[in-house]
Amino acid sequence: MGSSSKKKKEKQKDFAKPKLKVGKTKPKADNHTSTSFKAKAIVVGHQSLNAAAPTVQTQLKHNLTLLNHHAYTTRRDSLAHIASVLSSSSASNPPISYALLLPALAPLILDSTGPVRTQLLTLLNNLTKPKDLRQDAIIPVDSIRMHTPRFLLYIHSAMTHISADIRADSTNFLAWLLDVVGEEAVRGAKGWGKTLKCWIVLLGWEGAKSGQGVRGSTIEFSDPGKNKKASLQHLGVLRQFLFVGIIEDEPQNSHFDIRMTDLLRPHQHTELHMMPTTSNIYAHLNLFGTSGIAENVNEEDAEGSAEDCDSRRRIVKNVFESNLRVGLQAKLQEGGEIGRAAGAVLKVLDKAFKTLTSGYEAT
Amino acid sequence: MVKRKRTALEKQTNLPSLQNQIRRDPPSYRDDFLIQFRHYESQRDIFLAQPEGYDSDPFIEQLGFITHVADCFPDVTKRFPQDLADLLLNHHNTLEPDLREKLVQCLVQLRNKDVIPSTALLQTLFPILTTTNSKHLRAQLYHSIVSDIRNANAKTKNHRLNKTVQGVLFSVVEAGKGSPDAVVGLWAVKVTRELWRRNIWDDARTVEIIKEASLSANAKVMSGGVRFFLGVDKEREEMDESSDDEDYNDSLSKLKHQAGVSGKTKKKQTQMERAVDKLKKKERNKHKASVLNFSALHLLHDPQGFAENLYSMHLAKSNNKLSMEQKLLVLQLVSRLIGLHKLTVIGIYSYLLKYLTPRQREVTRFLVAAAQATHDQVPPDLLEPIIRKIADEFVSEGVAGEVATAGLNSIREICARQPLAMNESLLQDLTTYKGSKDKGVMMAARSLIGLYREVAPDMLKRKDRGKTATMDMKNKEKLRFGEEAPGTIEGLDLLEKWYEEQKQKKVEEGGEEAAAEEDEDQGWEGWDVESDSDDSGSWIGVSDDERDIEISDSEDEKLSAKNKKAKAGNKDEMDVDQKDGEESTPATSDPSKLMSLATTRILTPADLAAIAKMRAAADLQKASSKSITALRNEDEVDESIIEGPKTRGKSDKEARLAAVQEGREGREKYSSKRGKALAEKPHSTTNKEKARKKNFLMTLGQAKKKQKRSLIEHRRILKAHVEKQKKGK
Repeated sequence: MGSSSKKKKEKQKDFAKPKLKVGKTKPKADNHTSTSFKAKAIVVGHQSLNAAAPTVQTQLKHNLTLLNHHAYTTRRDSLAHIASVLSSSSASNPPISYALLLPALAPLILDSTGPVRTQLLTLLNNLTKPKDLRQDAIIPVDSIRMHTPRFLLYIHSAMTHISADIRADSTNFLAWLLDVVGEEAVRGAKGWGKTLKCWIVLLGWEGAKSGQGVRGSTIEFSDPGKNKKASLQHLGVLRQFLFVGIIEDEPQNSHFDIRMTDLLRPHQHTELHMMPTTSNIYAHLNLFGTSGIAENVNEEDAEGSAEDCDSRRRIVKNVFESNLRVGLQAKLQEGGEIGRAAGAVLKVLDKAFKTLTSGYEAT
Repeated sequence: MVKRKRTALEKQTNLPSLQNQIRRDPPSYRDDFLIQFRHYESQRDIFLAQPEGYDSDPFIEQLGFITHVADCFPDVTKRFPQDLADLLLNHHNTLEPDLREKLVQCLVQLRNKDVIPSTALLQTLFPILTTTNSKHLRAQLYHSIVSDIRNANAKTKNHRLNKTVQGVLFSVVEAGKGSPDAVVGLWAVKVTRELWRRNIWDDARTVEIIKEASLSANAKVMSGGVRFFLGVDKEREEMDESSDDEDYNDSLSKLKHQAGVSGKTKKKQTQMERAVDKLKKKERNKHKASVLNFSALHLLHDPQGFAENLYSMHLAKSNNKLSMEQKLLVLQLVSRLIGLHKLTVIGIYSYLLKYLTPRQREVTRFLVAAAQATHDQVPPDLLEPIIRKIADEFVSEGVAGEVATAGLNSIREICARQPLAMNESLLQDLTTYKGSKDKGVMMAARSLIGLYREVAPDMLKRKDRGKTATMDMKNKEKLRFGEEAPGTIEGLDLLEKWYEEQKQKKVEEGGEEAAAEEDEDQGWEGWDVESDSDDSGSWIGVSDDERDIEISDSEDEKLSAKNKKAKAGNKDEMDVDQKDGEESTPATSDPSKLMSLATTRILTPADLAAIAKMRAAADLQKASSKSITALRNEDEVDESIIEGPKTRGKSDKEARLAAVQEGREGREKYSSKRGKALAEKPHSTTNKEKARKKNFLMTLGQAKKKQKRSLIEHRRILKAHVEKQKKGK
């Protein structure tokens, strides 16, 4: 009896509420941890002791890595930083290798935000085009030429992107590339056939050949406000693209110039038998590429060798001409500014094929 | 038209919504798809230009999209599957894991949508399976391959696919057969094994693949193949059982209840339907005759050649680097093959001889192999050294009881299969162990005696023969090598006995005339299509008529019950009367008489069913009595038979206590019921507790008083107590 009541009391003790009194400190809780320790020193494991400011090079490199940053403002700012540093430097002694810089810039063509893309476009325009004729561009044309296939890849990707904004901007980059490197941009399977395919789907003219007619597809109407502006711009770039691709430069000197032709050259078509002036002319044979995915060379001959103007004209004639013409006719009928732009493109086509037929007749 | 306008106004911003719309109306969204397809191509080119360090997320998304809608535009996506396959084949070691996984998924999805055939999928996946370094990818590929073949065989067996896949696997195994480093075959074995286990492949071609693998020079591939033969049937049976155990009834009733309680949604309805389907299928399977399940060992072509090759490749060569375990596996397989197919591989007996010493590791398995490799076609000269060696090494006074038990048991197992391997003097030596103090040894010796009582009692000592064996001795012929007993239909004697009993019963009841005929007709019921469909007059009907006529012919003479019986028997067997005379002798004694039933009548399905039933009953009886001679070479010898009964040796106190505790586990604690009841609920102090806690000094006076009580007083108290007890009741 006695022991049980004792036990009860013991048990009760656990649940007794401590009395709080005014003016007294609150009793510490059971699980209270004392933090009243003192340290003589705090040791930091690693610390940068570099007193000098980072060099331009390291800053640039850092900014290059920031191009992949998730916040678009950071990307844009780092682009701006790169542009400002490069524009103040000389072309002969760049603060950073172009082999590093250009591949890092190319993926931004696909950037999801508009400001970054415009920033990129201004950067490219400012740095790669000479400000006036006496001066060279800051980034030399040769280095851009080296990276043309890479830029083309991203431009193709942008031309077919699901986001209408990126598609609309894509031709701006193409126009820039055509401006800077000229014929290099349309050479080869990647440059010509592939780009033309992208053009066809970009403008929604794929069904034209099969007799379904040009359809006002979802692609074109997907952004009604910008539609007109975008398509106007597209047609302008298309004209430029075709012009560079299928209209031969007028020979500088006429056949009657005896000095040039007969004396120095043993054969009428000597230039065809000479060493090529451009690099990698057998790219379409895919001699050194991966054997896995060969370019589908035989698919309607669209991506065959497009090394010279004739072969490009042939490709257009065999594969794309009907699509292009039907599409352009439809635009022409719309009239207005777009109609005029389409007419200009048609003129380029007509001119190209006139020279083609005349060339055939001549031979 | 209206639709076109509406779709035109919609803005395509993300792939999932576009995918959804394309699935609903492919032609209207062709242009959108085309642009996405070109996008995929450009993404692919970017990837190819720079396979490492490529941000693959958008590409993965694009791949998923194209795969989902690929079947809507077959003309555009003609090359798409090939592209994926090439990507995977060429870059599987450098690809980012996510992208790689996605590629495999896409291929499988394309297969599920029937865009590519199964063979194309397997041709892509299998080479990667054997070459990739990534464990994760391997697992994924393995599962995709197996599940693809399973799906292809889900409804009916897809023989064409199976044949091609088996061909591929066979060539894979065969290619790596010669070199000890080629592990490619391992995957072939794994896939084959899995498919066999799931009952998808069950033919001789499959077994042929594994056979080839077991003869491979690589130890891993080889042991994979050998394990298949040794364990796969067991695995398969377990698998079947486990799938049977799943009880759908519960889930069905639960679903039914849920369907009644909460709202009726489409999902629930489909769930319900699926469950019902499953149940129905299960029911159907229950009634379906079991699928032919030939053991892999039975399906082998040329078991003799296989066994010889196995022996000469893996065992006979002294320079091979197989581990003990692997050698044992091969030995086990070879011995099973020899026992099962009654093969002759002479080398194995001398090989075994080397390992039969008590100190050998895993010696019981060698003993098992020796027993398995014995059958009645093995020359006794080959077995005699083995038995002699076992007797010398294992069975002597100096060795431990367990060793002697194992030796005697293995000798018994060998002799049960080939009794001629034993000679008289050795047998009589061994039988003296029947008086051993060790229980295992004693039992083993007795079982040896029991065996020879049945097969050759004359070899035993006179006092060991026993009464029945001695009586049978004069009927028994001496054993001769190579003698085959004439074949019988198992259980036919039982059937005959049963017929006799039936007849006897009929006679006693004074049964109808054509009882036996009816019996037979009933036996064919539901089996003979003609008699069922044609009730107007088939040949069966005619024969009935004939019998009627016959009966009417013999109607004039009064038939006794005995004659009736004989007549009924006439239809079944011609010499039934002779048999009646011999009824007293046991049916097993004369095989020629036994076969008469089989030669004189066609056994109906009902008869066969009856035989099966009676055999099952007889087997049950046999199982309880455990006859040694009821041996079947198909079964493997169990290691526990050789080891004999396990006796618990002396151990230290802790071990004994642990054993005691183990026995107590899960049992209630012994204590009074009242105490348990009180412990459960809160209660006031009982009188007993009070008495126990009472102060000692307070009880002292009472105790003193008790001693001083007079006799009369004492009697009064006792009486009062008795009264009280009575009242209490």
